[in-house]
Amino acid sequence: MDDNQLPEKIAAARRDAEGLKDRIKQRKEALADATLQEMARDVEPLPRIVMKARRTLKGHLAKIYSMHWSTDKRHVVSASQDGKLIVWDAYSSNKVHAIPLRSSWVMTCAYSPSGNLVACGGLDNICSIYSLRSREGPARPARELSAHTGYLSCCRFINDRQILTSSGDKSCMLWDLDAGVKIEEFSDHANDVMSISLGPNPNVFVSGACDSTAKVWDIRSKRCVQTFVGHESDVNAVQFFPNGDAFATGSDDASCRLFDLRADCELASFSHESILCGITSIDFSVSGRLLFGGYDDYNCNVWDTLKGERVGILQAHENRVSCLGVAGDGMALCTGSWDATLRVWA
Amino acid sequence: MNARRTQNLSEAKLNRLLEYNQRLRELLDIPRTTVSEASTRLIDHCKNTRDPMVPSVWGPIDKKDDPFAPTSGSGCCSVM
Repeated sequence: MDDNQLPEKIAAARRDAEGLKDRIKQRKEALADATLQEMARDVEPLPRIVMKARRTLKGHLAKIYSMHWSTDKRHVVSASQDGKLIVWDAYSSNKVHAIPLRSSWVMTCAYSPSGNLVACGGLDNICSIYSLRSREGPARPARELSAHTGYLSCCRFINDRQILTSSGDKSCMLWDLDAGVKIEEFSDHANDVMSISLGPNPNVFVSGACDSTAKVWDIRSKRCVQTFVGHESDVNAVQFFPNGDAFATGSDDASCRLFDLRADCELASFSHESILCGITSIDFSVSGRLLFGGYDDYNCNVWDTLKGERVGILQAHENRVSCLGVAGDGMALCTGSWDATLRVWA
Repeated sequence: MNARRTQNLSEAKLNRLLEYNQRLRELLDIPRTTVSEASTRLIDHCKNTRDPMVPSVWGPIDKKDDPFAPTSGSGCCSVM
């Protein structure tokens, strides 16, 4: 290539980029014909949501960093930096399994949809898989998935053969559990990826990262198909709306936001001038009408997704709420905290 | 030598910009719906899905259907 023309070509490419970005902005503005709040003005507002802590799950000896419901809506797995994964029966509060971990610096855990497997990982950069139903039981990991060069921030089973992970190494990975190897790598974030969510469409997942963005990925094409900006700080949590058309995010900027995949824009922001701390975890109620956020100020705030208003506060923990999840039948919310307990609310 | 290195860096920069513009072109053309249509879908889903946590819309949960209902105090132990 004639090196005399390079500076001109680079300048032209830059101009093209600005032009394309403007056209994208115009297309999106043309579609912003209303707001979610306006469209929901005829929806009956909700009364104050009152939920009580019906169960307190005690047993961990140190901060709890993660929890995940089983699809049986009854069992919960939790991970604590006391170096244990505990599987609980939320109905009775009994512990069903207490799995000692090789590394106590655990940051995430997950239950497989079948209920056969649980996974965890953290500062060891490894995703460890334990079998709950094999003859040997969960005494030792069935698989140790090693390829990330940074901490494991989140993991989610697609099924008993595949798991998705996110990492402080800025990437997400898809793994084959039978072979114990990485199948795919998803790299586009500019900073640590903190959270992933799988929706009803098995081919799509969303990730949130410390680069303040959330990205939607297509597993088959292995590409980032959409990027959502708006947050002003790390996105710590992402969760799909139940129908998979939208997702919520929780951030260190003290706001939760709702983004829509088909409209390709932010639909709502959930914040209050009195809330100044970050959100660690989020989940929707089964219809999507309620959005629960776990906050650094020890509380869980309940938001009306359609109206953008706070409709409840759940207070019981004595330290940061680090994780939460709504059971599959929508009957209960489980919160986990640095105070070493989990609470089940209904 | 320096001139060659500078040219290599500039070519790499140009290639990165051209790839970026290709992604922008793809983003320009993704199908998008209006905010009103997207909102309607979310509102409809909320309206059409029974939610035990929203009793003002769906009614209270029957005690017999609620696995977390406070028990009638029949004892603190259960046979495993």
